[in-house]
Amino acid sequence: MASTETSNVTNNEVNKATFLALFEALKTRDGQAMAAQMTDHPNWIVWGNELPGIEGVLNILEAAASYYKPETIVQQMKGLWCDGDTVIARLTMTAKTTNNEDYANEYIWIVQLEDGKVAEVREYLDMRVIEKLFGKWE
Amino acid sequence: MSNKETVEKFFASLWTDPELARSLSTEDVTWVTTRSMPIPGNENSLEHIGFEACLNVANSGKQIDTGYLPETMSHPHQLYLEAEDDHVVYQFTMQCKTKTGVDYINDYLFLVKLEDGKIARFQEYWDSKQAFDLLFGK
Repeated sequence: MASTETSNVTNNEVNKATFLALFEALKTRDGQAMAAQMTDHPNWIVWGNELPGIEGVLNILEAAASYYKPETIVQQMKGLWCDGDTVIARLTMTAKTTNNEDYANEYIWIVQLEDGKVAEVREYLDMRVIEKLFGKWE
Repeated sequence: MSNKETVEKFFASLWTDPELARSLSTEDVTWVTTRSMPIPGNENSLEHIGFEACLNVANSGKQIDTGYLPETMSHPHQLYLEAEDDHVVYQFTMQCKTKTGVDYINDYLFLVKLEDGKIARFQEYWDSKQAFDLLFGK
């Protein structure tokens, strides 16, 4: 393998490891551990709705706790790939809502890294599923 | 032809030259659609298997009374990521007029898996809430 290819593979593995640390922290709803994998001013974007800063990340955790029964949340990673410093993750999530309804959705995260830290997460999901269960989502 | 070029050519021809798109697909090419927006003709499945089933999905937005006017469609933003394991991400914005005169604009993302240089599976993510609001005038 040529050295450039070796370097790319290594970089991909490092980027994936950073993403996986972020994802594991999300699953345990550990905001501090999530922040440790991110830049000082990350941006989380859900279909154009920006949740800037670590505060935005913490807001996501807070919102999730109000929507879903934490003990029922199952988040699974179905695929993980890299294109340079961009990590692409295919995810699913199921849960019982706090209203005791079944939730199931499919996600893609496009994650941009800068200097080994997560700078941006663009989250794509089926928003009609959210709207049907929770009404207008802010 | 690179994977990215194949994906580019596939989506450029799917609505205008379906036979070209078919030639770029595997026999059991599969389109995975979003949970909240069932496709007429295959309402009970997210998976649409075979090129004819994919074509049915492609044309579904044009067939409804409040659907798109194909001749007004444009893509002001397009981005491709060429990822590992023969995956390509195609993210774009589509804008058009609907048959009811509404200015439609929405973001889309396709996660595409290729096999031996052909399109084998693609999962669609779009802002289904935005689509529902604009197409059905919620």
